Amino acid sequence: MAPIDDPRILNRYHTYAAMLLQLGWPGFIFGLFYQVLNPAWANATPLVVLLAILCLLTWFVMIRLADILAAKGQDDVWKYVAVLGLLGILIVLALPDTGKTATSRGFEVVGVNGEPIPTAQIADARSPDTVQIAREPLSAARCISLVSDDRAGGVAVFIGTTRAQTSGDPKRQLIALDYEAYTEMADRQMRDLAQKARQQWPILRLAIAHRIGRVSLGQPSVIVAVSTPHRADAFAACRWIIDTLKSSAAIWKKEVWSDGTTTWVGERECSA
Amino acid sequence: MRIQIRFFASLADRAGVRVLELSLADGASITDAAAALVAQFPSLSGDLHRVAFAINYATAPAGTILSDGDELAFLPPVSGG
Repeated sequence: MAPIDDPRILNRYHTYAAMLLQLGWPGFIFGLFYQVLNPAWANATPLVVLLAILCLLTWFVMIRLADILAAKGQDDVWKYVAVLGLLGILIVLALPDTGKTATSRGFEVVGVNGEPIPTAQIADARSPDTVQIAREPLSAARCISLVSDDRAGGVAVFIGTTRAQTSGDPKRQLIALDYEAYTEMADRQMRDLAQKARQQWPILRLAIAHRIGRVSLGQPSVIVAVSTPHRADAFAACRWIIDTLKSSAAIWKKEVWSDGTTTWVGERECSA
Repeated sequence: MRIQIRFFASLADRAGVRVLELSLADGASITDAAAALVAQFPSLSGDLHRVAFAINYATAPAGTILSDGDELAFLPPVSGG
């Protein structure tokens, strides 16, 4: 094994150090994209993959360049490589963080239902009212975070779940409820509900989410979350919203039994 | 005039269809549309007295006059939530 002060070994370690510094160049390219071009793109997975590939290419190009220079007899080529790398890192660090969010740059923000929200209206990217009808499982934690607010003294949440029922025949058990909605109308009704609730109580934020499709036992089919300055209003508003939703929204449920039969549940006529 | 008919839940199961187009004389009301549909889907004859009606996503009484291009929905008793 060659002694540690063999110039070939020293050169190798110098080269490794220089290669590490080369990471500054990919950082620079990423920073360039982030600061100058569309910042929303910086979060897009395809662009991240493209940037990662560009970073690796840059790295290999630099190493190849170093090899070429070394072959021409430039033994201290690592110095040039290191300087370039350092330059890359310094440029990245020097790029100012403007502190701007996507919103303030005027990019389109969409609400949780995909509806466009005019950026002028948002100080907070969350819409004060969230109305959702969707096939995916509901999350109470998500609804709570949608309505959380520094001005709120209380958050009331109602979660409606599929309840086990018996039919008298021990072999015939309820296994799920299938929900169907006239989505265009139910969405409109739920937004009206939100508006009417705001007329009656000082609501800060609210979220109404209803699931369609199959909901198994114990799973949430509807969530109503309301935040208000004082708890009495939160309870009252939450209760009124779910009661009114149940009596008026254009949504229907079908009981799915263990023997394969189904029955539509008939409650009261659509009134709102 | 042509209007779009929407059926839901038990009605859709009974009629065997969820969406269809209906041709009606100008000035026809929801009641006229219902009569035309019962003629087309005899299996619905007993059901339509318990349904609510909606024109373009808003509830409407049976006597409401329809316009060309309206979407008329027949809504069985609701059971959401």
